[in-house]
Formats: sequence, structure tokens, C-alpha cells
Amino acid sequence: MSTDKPRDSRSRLVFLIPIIAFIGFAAIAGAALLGTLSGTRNSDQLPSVLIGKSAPDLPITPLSEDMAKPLEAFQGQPVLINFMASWCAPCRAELPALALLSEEVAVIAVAYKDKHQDTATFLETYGNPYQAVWMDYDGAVGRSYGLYGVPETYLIDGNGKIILRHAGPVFRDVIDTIIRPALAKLSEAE
Amino acid sequence: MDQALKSYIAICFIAIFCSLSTFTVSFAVSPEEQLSDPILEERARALSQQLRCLVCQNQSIDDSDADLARDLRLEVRTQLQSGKTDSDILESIRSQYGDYVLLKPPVQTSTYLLWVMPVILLLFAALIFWMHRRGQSNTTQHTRSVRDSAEHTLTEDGHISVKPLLVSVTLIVAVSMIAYSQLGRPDLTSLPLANRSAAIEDARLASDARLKMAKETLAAAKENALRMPMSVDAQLRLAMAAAQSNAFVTEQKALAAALELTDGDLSIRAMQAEAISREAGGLVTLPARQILADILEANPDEPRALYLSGLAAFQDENFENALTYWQRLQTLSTDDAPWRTMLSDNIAQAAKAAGIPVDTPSGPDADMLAAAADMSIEDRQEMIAAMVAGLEEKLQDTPDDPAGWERLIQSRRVLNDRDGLMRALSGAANAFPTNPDYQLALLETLLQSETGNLYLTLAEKAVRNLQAIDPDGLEYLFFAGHFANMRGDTDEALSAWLRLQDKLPEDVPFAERLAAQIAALQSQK
Repeated sequence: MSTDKPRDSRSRLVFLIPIIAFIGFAAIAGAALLGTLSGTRNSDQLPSVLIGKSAPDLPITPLSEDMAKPLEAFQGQPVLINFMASWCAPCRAELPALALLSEEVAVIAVAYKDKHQDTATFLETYGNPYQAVWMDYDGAVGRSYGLYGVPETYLIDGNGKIILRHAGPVFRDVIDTIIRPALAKLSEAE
Repeated sequence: MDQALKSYIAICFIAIFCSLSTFTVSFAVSPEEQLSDPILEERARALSQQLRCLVCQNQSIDDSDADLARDLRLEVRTQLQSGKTDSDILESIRSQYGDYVLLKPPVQTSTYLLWVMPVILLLFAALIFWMHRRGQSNTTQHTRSVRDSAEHTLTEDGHISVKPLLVSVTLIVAVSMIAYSQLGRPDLTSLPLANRSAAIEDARLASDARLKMAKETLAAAKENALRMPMSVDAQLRLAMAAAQSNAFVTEQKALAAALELTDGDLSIRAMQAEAISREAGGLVTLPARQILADILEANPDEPRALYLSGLAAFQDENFENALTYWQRLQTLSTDDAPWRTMLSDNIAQAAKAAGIPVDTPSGPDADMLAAAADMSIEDRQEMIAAMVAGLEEKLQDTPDDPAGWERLIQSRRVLNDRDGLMRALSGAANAFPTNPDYQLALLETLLQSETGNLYLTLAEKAVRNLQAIDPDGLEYLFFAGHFANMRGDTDEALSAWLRLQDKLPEDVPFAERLAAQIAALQSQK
């Protein structure tokens, strides 16, 4: 056999193409992996498909009669819907920041898959920054908002449209970098 | 080992592995989630495998134990049961969670590259291969001949050629695909691919027919209510039909109309509360609670209001209150009240949640019934029938057991077994010939069942027993006349009823009917 006869340069080039293609793919996958690891590429923070659409209905059962303000009562002003639960630790952690925020914008809570008594005790113990609290016993309302888990917060504009979804607790940095800018943009638009 | 044999074994392994991958069984779906309808369940499983568990790393909701995955699985099943199509369901979940929730991305402008990429890569590979071949064809003739021979044989001496390899791989894949389509998956053997579309079509037709019937009933009820605007009955029937078609607005309008016609009847108020709760997906809401409180204030014994108040308390996890309401309802309900079983189930549940022991019927019957809860419908009915038959046999040996007879009579009634019921009633009447209640129970059932002369001898015996108890008793005289009439003995019937007429006060409504029947008999003579 005379396969040791040198090939021409074009054949050598052809041989290189798969390797170059492989390196290209590896680069793309690597960048995606790095993004995932560093948190800049996070499937939890995908923009909600509901943005720009009307906010789905809130649950029908309020925590109590004085916490029974419906979404329509906030027409003409922005409102934050905060999905929370007494069984969720970050929900407790975000309460002080929410209390701070409640001085600038109305915040209402949807207790996601929580028990009535547990929500009541939770808010009595750690303070209640909400203007209304609605009970989403089976999580159906959460799913209609495309909820991944609690806590999650949605900003609704004066026309009842969803402007923003934030997954995870609302801490002060979130207020400064995400929520206040969005609120400012809303008041500017008016 | 021979190089060719090695490749052969490797290829076989790959083929077996590929065919096995169609038999993956997932463990995330727990039995209580599954739908009883195997076709719907199969569709649910197929849909779940197409939906991403959003909080996991690349798992379908079918594979995942995550809470959100479980919720979505249940939502898929609920929507299936309400008769939605697969694409409706995928679309409704996609409208909440976006394309990301679909494991198979939709073909749209933003995903063209994704879908076309494999084809591009394949073409690219073909191009390289072609260029490579052309490059080689420029080399010596000798190389080509070696390459040509390598294409057809794996060894120089040519014992194992490429052909059998290809044939065996194709065969393995084909056999496994045929087995799958004919026998079904090991975990869902009842549904081989081959019959599936027919079964799904049948289920769809059945559910269409159900929907159509509910629609027609509703339309008829609507027309009826329009024709008779002053009829409470027509409004209530409309409300019922509307409830069955989930037409909540119509239901509440009809109930409101009925309420107005009856000037605020409490039981209709209670139906309103129920309608409001049903609209809220079974949650007893604040407005419903308000109505319930009003009703119970006016009449603390309104059964529907009691039931719903118990439910409201249960939903608040105030189990003691729920128990109070429900147990009150239980003491008020008769044995044949339709809600009896549901109520005792609820009471047991509330008691368990509250940690309070309640008196539930104990003994082998209760245990067996509890076991029956886990069985299929057919098995359960068979078992209950066997239990009832056993009870009947026991009572024939030891007839002196009033509670046993009553249980037997009740069971036969529930099972809708007419012959068995008559046997039980006459057995009890024979066992206690001096107890008028048993005689009357038999006679009244015979009277209502319109069975003609079939059970006349049973009736005669019971009538004689009644006579022995009290020869002047009103019941005796009435039944003596009735059954004499039935066997054609007009004289005896007339004499019994005339005696009854003498004893009967004139102002009871029955007296009028009796007089009419006596007149009819006299004219027959």
C-alpha cells in the first residue's frame, strides 16, 4: 500500500474543518456555561412572557376582611404583587425591604400555597407591610402568573399591565437597581 | 479478538441500547396523581414529557419530584379532564411560562437556526466526505482498490461483510419498534401504539357526547324557564342544568329568580351559597359565608348550609368547628340522605386532622369497606355484593337480629336489587311477625314498586301478620283492601275499605281518595 504518499494541501484543509467547527461549538458552550456559573445567564430570571399583558386575577379569598383590597382598587397607580409564603425563609428576609418600599408604592401579597393561620401568624410576628393579602391555597394563581417559586414580585402599572417580574427576594439593592428605576420610568411615562 | 467481531458486538450493543431507551420508566408520577382513565393518563404522561421542569436542570416535569413540576402535572391532568386538546394544554401553559417551558422548542423565526442546524451540519459533513473522497481518488489506483475492498468487507479474507451488520442493526430496531407498537410500553401495556388513536378517538367522542347532552339539557331547561317564568321548579331545574355545564352566570340568575318567586326560601339561599363556592373552584368564599351565616341564623338546621359551613371551617383548618357542623348535619339526616356517605367521609377526615377520635362503624364490615376503597369499581361492587350475600345467609340461620335485617334492607336498597330487597323485607317481616313496622315496610315497598302480582303471596302473609297484631288497625284495613283488590277479590276489598272509611276522620286528605276508590269498586260490581 502506498497510503504514506503525502496528500495535497486541499485535503489537509478539509481535515481541519471539523476541528475548527468543534472548537467553535466548544467556545459557544463554554461561554454559556461560564454565564450560568457566574449568574448572568439564569433561567430563573428569564423575562416573563406576561410582560405587557394584563395581570391575571388575584385569588378570591383574602386573609381577612381588612386585607381584602382587590387589584382594581389600585387602578391609576402602580402596585407590587409579592408572592410569598410563611414557609419560605427568603420571604421573611425581604420583609424589611418591602416595608421600606411600601412607603413609595402599594404592595400586596399573595400567600402562595400557604395555610390561612400560618400566613396570619407570620405577618403578626414579623410585621405586615402589605395593603392586601390574598390566599392562593393551591398555587393556581401563582401558576397563572408563571411563578417559579416564592418569593417573586411583579410590578403592575396603573392600567393593570405587568411591567416587571423579579424572582427571588427583594432586598435594598434590588429596590435601587431594579424596582425604583422601573417606578421612575412609569411616572415619567405619565 | 478479531477486529470485525469487535465492531459487530459494539454495533449490537449500540442498537440494543437505542431500542432500550424507548422503555424508560419514570418514577416521579405518584399513584394518587394518576387519572383513572388510562387514555387520559397516557396523554397526560406524553404531555408531561414535553414540559420542562422550570426549577430543575433539564428535566421534564414527568421525571421531576419538584413541587412546581407536580403542580404542573396536576394542572395538565385537570385540563385533560375538562376535555381540552393536547395543543390547547401546551399553549395554556406556554402562555404563562413562555417557550422555555417546552422541552421541544417551537419552530418560529427566533428558532430557525436551531432547527435548521442539524441539516446544515449533515450537508456540511457530506461535503467534507465528498471532498475527501475526491482527494483520495486522485491518489493511486492501488489505494482505490484497497479502499473499494474495505467498503465491502471488514477483513482482508472477506468472511464478515458490512451487509449482515446493517441488516442485523435494522432488524433489532425494527423488531423493537413493532413490539412497542403492538404490545405497548411495559408500564402501560394496556395501550399499544396501534390501538391508541382509536381509543383516544372513542374517549373524545364520549366526552363530546357528554358535553353535547349537557348543552342540550341546559337549552331545554332555559326554554322551559322562559315558558313558565313563574315556576320555581323550572328555575331550579335551569339552575341545576346550568351547574352541570359550568354556566355559573345562568345558574346564579336562575337561583336569584327562584329566590324572588319563593320570597327568600332558605334552601334556595343555600344553593346560592353553593353556586358561589362552586364558581370559586370549591372554596367557600366570604360572600358565600355571609349567606350561610344568615341562613343558619334563621334556621340552624338547614342541611346545605350546615354542610357548606363545615366545609368553610375545614378550609380554614378549623377542624373542630367543621366537625361540629357536620356532626350536627349527620344527626339531622335520614339514613337514605344522598350525602350520607360523603358526610361520614368528611367527618372522618376532619376528625383525623383535628386528632379527635370519632365513633365510626367498626368491625369487619368497616375494615372491609376501607379495603374496598383501594379496589377497582368492579372488584368493589363484587366484594360488596359478596358481603351482602354473606349477611343474608347469616340472617337465615340467626333471624333474631333486627340491626342485621335493617342493614341488609338498606344494602339491597342501595344496590338497587329489587328481588333481594323483597327477600330481605319479607325475611324481616317473617322473623318479627308481631312487629308492625316490618310488615308495613314490606307492604309499602310492594305498593310502590308496581310489581303487579309477582309478590302477592309475600303481601298476603304480611297482611295476615298485621291482622294478628290489630284486626281493626287502619294500616291493616288499607292493605287488606289493596291486595284483595289486586288479586281481584272485589268483595273483600270493598268490605275492608268500607270499614276503613268508617274509622277514618273525614278531614284527612286520604279520605277523599279512598271514597273515590270505593266508588270505582262499587261501579265495577
